[in-house]
Amino acid sequence: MMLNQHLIGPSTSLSSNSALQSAGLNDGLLSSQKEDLKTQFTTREGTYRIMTLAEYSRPNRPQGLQGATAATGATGAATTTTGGAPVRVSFLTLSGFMPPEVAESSNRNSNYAEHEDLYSDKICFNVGRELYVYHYRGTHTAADLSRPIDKRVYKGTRQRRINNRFFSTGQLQMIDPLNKEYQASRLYNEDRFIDKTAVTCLRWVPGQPRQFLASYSSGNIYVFSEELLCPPSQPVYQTFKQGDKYTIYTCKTKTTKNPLYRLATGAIHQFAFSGPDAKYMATVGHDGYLRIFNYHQMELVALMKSYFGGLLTLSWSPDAKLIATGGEDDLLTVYSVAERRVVCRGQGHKSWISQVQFDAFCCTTEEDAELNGYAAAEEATGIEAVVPEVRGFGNSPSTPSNAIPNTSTADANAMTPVMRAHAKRATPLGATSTLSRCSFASFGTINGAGQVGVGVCYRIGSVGHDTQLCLWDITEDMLKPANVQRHRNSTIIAPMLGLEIQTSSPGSRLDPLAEASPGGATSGVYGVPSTSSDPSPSSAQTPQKPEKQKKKRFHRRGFTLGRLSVGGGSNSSNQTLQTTLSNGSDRRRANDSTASSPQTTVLDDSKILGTKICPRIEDVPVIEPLMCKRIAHERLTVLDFRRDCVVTACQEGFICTWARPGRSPAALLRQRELLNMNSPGTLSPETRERSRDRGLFDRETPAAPPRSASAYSANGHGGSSFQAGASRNTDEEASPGVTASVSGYNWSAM
Amino acid sequence: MGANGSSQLEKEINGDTLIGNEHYYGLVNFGNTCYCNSVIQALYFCRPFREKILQYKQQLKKTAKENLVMCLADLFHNIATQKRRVGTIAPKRFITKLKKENELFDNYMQQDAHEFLNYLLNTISETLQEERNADKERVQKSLKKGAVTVNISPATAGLNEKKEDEKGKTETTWIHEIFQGTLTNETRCLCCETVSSKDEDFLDLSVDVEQNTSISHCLRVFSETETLCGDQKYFCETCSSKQEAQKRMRIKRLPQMLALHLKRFKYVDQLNRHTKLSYRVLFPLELRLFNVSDDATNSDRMYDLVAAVVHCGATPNRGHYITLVKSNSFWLLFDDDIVEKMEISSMEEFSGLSDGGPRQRNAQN
Repeated sequence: MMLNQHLIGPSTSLSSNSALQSAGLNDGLLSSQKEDLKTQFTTREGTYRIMTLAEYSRPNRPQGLQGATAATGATGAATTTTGGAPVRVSFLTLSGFMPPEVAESSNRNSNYAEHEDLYSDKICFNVGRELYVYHYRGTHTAADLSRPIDKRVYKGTRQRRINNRFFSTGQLQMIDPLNKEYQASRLYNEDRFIDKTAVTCLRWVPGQPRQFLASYSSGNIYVFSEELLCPPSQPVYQTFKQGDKYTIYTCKTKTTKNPLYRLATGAIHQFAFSGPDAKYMATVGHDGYLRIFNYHQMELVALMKSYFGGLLTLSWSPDAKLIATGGEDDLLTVYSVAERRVVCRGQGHKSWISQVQFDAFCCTTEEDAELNGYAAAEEATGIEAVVPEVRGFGNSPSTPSNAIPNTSTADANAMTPVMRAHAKRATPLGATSTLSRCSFASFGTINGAGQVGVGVCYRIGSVGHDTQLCLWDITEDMLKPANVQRHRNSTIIAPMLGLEIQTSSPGSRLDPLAEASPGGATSGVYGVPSTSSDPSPSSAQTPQKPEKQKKKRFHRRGFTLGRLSVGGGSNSSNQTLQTTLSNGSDRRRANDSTASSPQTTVLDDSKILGTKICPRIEDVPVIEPLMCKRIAHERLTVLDFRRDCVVTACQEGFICTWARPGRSPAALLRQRELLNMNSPGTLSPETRERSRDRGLFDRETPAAPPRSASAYSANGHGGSSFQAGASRNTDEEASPGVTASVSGYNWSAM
Repeated sequence: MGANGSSQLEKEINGDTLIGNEHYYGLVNFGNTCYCNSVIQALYFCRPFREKILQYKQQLKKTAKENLVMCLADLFHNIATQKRRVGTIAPKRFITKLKKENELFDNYMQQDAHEFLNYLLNTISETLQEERNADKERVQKSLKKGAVTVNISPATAGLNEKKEDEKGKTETTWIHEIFQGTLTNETRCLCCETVSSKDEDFLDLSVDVEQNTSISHCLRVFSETETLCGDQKYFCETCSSKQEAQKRMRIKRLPQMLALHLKRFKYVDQLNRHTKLSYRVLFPLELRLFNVSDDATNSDRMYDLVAAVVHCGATPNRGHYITLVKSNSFWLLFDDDIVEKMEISSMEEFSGLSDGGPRQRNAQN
C-alpha cells in the first residue's frame, strides 16, 4: 500500500526522450477519459442532447491562451493551465424592466449581462481577459462565433495579474454592448478605494433596477447604486447594524455616494436573492456558512453550515422555500428556509461542487401542486406530448425544437396561468395523455416510485470540479420533517454489509414511512385519478413490493454511500461507547438536545455539529443523484436552466447547450408522423417567434412537474436508497450508450 | 531573493500584533535535501509533535549518545529560541546524522518525502521505545531507591484489539498518540457469508488519486469494496478452503493527526519506471471522514489542514518539494530557505497539476 519502491535517480538521468514518453502516457490517460464524455443524458422526462453547433467559446482560440493567463505561482509550483478566472455566463432575455447595461467586474473578468433586445436573447461570457457578447439562440440555431455583438479585451487586468501574483483588482465596469459609447464612464471602484480584492459575485437587486451588489473576496458585500459616483478617497464607514459574525456599515458622507452599504461577513463565494421582491438574500462563503438575511431589514434570519469546508454556491428554489448549496464537502445540501433545517444532503459528486441551480422549469412547487393537483398532471403529460421530438437534433440545428403548430396546447413552454387553464382543458382528450401517463407510470414501477401522483417536486442540477453534471429530485416526502425526526439516531444510508440486510427482516428494520418514500407517499395526497392503464402499484398499498425492488436495486447499484455512516445495528452501542470517551462526546450529545437558534448562540464551530445548523451525516437523509454524467474535460463552472435547454460551461471557456427532451414514447410516435407531414422548415413565423421570445422572467410558470421517482434514501437500511440507479438505467427510451453506469463504482453487498 | 522575501515577511509579521511568538525559519538546502526540509517544516508546525520534541530536548540527559531524534530536537529548539522571528537555519547536524544513520539517504539524490516521513516517525518511535526499555531496566535495578514510576511498558508488538482502557495501551509512544489510527479490514466470504475483521494500525494513509476529484472522494475509493477472486482468493476458516471474498478497509479509530499521502508516483509497467500523476485533487481546509467503520468512535471528528507537502515537477525523479503551512490565521509557503506569506485563495493552485506527498491534518478536538 505504501509506496515502497524507492523513487530515486539523479535528475540528469531524465532524458528528453523519457519526458516525451511521460507526456505520451498522460495523453493516453486523458484520451481514454475523453471517450466516456457524454453527449446526451436521460432522465425520466426524456433525453437531453448536446447541441454541438450551439457551442459558444472564444472564436479562434490561440494555443497559447491558457499559458498566458495562467498565474505564475511561486517556485514553479503553479504549472496549472487554469490559473485564469473561471468562466461566468449570463443571459439576458427581453425585458422592459431591466436596466440596459452590463455590469462587469474586470478583475476576474466575471460578468453579468443585462440589456435589451426585442427578439433574441443575449449571452455574455468571459474567457481569460476577454469578454464576449453574442446573440443566444438556444437550441434553435447554431452559434455564429464570428459575429459577436461585442467583444472586449482587458489588457489592464493582465498587467496586474503579472504584478500581483494572485490577480484581482476589484473594479467594476458597467457596459452596454448595444450602445458602445455609453460604457466608458461607468466604472465603479476604479481607483480601488472601496476594495482592492477580487470580486466574487455580482447581482442586480431585484425590484430595484438601479442598484446592484458586489461581493469581494475580502469578505465584504457592497451595495452600489448605478447613478452614484464612487468616492475619490477611501470611504469612511459607520456601523449600521451588527449581529453574530456580521456587520453592516453605511458610508459616512454628506452626499450619498457609492457604496451605499457595506456588509462584512467573511469571504463570500456567491450570493443570491430569494425572488423578485428581494425579500431575502442568502450568502455562502469560505467559512462554510450559508447565511440568510432579510435584505430590507438587513438582518440575519437563518444560518447553516456545510458538513465541512467552504460553501461555493447556492440557489434558491423558485418558490423561495428551499436553498440548495454545494461546496468543498462534495455534498449537495438542501436547506428549508421556512423550517430552518437541513432537508437532505446529496452525495454524487467526486469533487467540489461549483454551481447548483434549481431547474425552475422542472419544479412543482406546493402552490402549483395545490392549485393544479389534477391539472398539473395533465399539463405535464401535455407537455410531454406536445414538445416535439426531432431526431438527429444536434445535426439539424435549424430545426426548431419547441413548436409544432398543430398540437393541442401549442407552445407548452410559454404557458402562462391562462394558458395553463387552456392546457387543462385541452389535454385530457385523446390517447396522448393517457398514453404518456402510462409511460410515467411505467417509469414509476421501474423506479419503485409506484405512483402517478403530483406532489411537490424540485429539480436541482449541480456541476462540479469533477466535470460531472448531476440532477437531483427533491420530492415531497423528503420535505416532511417527520421523516427526519424518525431518522434521528438511526441510520440513513444502507450499511455496506449485505449480511445485515439479509439477516434483518424488512418489517422490523424499515421505517414504514420510509418504505413508501420512493414516491408512494405522494400518490394519495393529491388524488390523481388512477386510470385503468396505470400499471404501477402504489407502494402504499403494496408495501412488500417496493421492498423487493429495493433489495434488487441494492445489489445492482454501483454505489459507495454505504460507507458513509454508522450501521443502525451498532448505533446504540456506539453511543454508549462514545460517552465513555472523553473526546468531546459529552458535548456532542448535549448539543443534540439544544437546537440552538443562530441569533442567540455564539457560534463555536466545534460545537455546532449535531445542531440544526450542521446536522450529523446520519441525522439527515442522504440522497443520490437522479442522473450523474461526466460531460466535460475541464471542471465545470456554469450551469443554467432555460426553457428549452440547459447551459453548462467549463473552465476552458466552452459553453454547451443541451436541448431539453421533447418527448415521451407516445409523443415520439406522433412527432415522427408529424415530422413526416410537416417538415420543420415550414413552421409559421409566429410559432417560431413565440418559442423564441420566452424569457427568464416568467419562471414561476412551472412546466413539467417531474414525477417523484428519485434517489431518496429515506431509511438507512438495506437497499432502500438506491432508486436513482434504477431510474437511470431503465429509462424506456434510453438510447444505447446512455444507460451505461455512470460512476463505475462497483457496489457489492458485502 | 530569500533574504528579501524574509525581511518582507518580517515586516508583515511585526506589523501584526495578533501573531504570537512564532518563528518562521527557512531551511538551507544541502543538495537535494528539499524532501527533508519540507517534511521538517510540516512537522515543526504540527503543534503536538513540536511540543513533544521540545519536551524531549528538555528531558535529555547530557551524557546521552547522539541520535537522530536528538538532532531534530536540537534543530527545533534552535528555531524556537531564535531572537529574530524570521530567518534561515542550516539543519546541518540533522542532515549529517540522517545520512549516517540510513544509507538510503546518504547521497545527493532526490528522495521521496513520504518515505522520509515514514522513516523519521518510525525512527523516533523506535528510539523512544529503546530509551524507555533502557530506563525500565535501570528502574528495575534501582527499585529500592524509589525511582519515579513512569508509565513504562515493554515494546511488545502485539494485538491491541479490545483495549479496555485507552490509557493502558502498552507499546505506544507519543508518536502513536499523535499519528496512529486504526483501520479495520473486513472480509466476507462469498460462500459462507462469514465476516471476519482484522484491525491494523497506521501512521498515515496512502490513497490512490483520480483526475478531477477531491480528497474526500479518494478516501471513499480507498474504502471501496474489492472482490478477491482468482489468484487472490481468500482462505476462509469456516469453509476451510479458499473462497471468493469481498474485502474493504475502513477507519475504525481516527488519529489525532491524520497524515494523508496521495499516491501520485505510479509505477507504469510499460515504461518500467514511475511516473507522476499530475491530477487535480482538491483538498479543503477542513475535512471530515466518510469512510469510517460502523463502530468507529468520534467518527465525525473535524480535521483542520495544518500543513501540506507539495511536490512540484513533472516526474518523480526530478522536481522540488515545498511546504504549505498554516500558522495562526494565515498560510505560509516554505521553499527551502525562502519563507513567504501566501493568500488562502492561491491554495487551490497547489491541488492542481503539480502536487504530491504527504499532508497532515490536525484534529480539532
